[in-house]
Amino acid sequence: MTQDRDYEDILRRALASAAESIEPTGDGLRRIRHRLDSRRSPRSALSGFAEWLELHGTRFLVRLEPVTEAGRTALRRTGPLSAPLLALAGFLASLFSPRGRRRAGGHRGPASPPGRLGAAGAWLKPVLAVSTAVAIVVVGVVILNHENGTLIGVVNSNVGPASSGAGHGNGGTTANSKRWKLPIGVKATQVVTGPSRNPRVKSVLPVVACTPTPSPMASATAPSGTGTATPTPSASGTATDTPGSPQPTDSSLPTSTPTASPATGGGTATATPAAMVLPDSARTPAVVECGASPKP
Amino acid sequence: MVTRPIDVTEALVADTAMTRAAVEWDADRAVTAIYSEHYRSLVRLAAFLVRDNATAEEVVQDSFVAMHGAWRRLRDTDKALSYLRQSVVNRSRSVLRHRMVVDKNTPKPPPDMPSAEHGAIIQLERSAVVSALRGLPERQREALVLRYYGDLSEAQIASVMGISRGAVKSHTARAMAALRAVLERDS
Repeated sequence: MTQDRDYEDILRRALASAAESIEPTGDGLRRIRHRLDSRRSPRSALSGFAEWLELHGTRFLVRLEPVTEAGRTALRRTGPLSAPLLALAGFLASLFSPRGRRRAGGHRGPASPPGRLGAAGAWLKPVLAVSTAVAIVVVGVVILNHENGTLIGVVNSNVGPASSGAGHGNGGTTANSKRWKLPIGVKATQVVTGPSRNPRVKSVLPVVACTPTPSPMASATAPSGTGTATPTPSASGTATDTPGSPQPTDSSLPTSTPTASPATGGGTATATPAAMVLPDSARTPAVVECGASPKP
Repeated sequence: MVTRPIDVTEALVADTAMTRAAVEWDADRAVTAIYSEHYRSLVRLAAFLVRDNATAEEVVQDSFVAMHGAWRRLRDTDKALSYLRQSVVNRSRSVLRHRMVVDKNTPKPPPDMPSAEHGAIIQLERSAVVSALRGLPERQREALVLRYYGDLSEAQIASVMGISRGAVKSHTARAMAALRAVLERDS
């Protein structure tokens, strides 16, 4: 026993005297600071992002409190379905609880118990947070798109198929088009589908054909009285919708510009109202006579 | 339903930012304070373990950098010193492990050519005791150095080495027996 004590003293003295000979260089603190600075610069982007995420995550979560509370209440109301959902939520929340501690030097030690996620928790938490946020955004966008498409479909079905024609994006045109009528002398012969914003809703435009009854205006430019009338309604006419004037102004009417050629005998005037919007009553092709003066 | 006002949220966020800045400043101050008090002893401890002064300094400096990063959860000088010791021991183990792999894969120098560590080792081998200490297994050497140079208790050694107190006792007893055998044989 005494011999053991002697050896312990010998060892202690020997270690102390050996340690005296070890003298560290004086610039240790400068080197440590240099390492800290060099460590900060490459990590600054990542740590900056992590800090930003933490700050704004805190802000977002605090502002989300009423929503989460409402969600919890709704979950409680759902009855038996709520139990697994609440368990899942509890598990996810426990993943982000700050229990894990990193160990000194990255080695095993009994002093600090491992976190629930283990060593992967350090990088798994931000990855999980970012992926959850991305998933929420994606689901929100998908739901919004779906709702938007449903709304457009509902609006189109209420207004009528003519409302989805090209060149009318505003409500004024739609409101105006409900009162628009085919000019007298123009006969709707067939129905074609046009471009539409919502592919599920077909744009139905009437193609009207005129019998070759020359109007006075047409006869001035086409003496032979045989011409092809192509009514091109101006866009300004579609937008001049005033609540007090139920009838469209004259500029909104398609003006027939007959491109008459004397060689063409017995031609038919084909009116293609691109921006023409018809009321529901015009869905069925209305046969009208060409050549008559339009309604004032 | 509890709705927190916006200014409370902003106060929470500002508080987080201020806390971070305070922790950073605190960590810098702690590094300076612990450096002036314990750097030398930590370098000596590492030098006993890795048997090379320059490497020992690098190990300790790395440990200080790690402590600076971990200051947010340490926030205490005693805890920081314990963290530093543990970090030094663990990093010294890593150095020895790496050195072992390097020694395996590099051709051995001729006997008349001294190795790079030779000068540093000579400094530590001034006494027969230190020379005998070099021949001990890694864990036994750690236990002896921490016990008789660091003056740590068994519990502290167990914490630093990451083993149980019983294992510390066992390592220390075996190391002392081996050391005594070597010294008696030499004398």
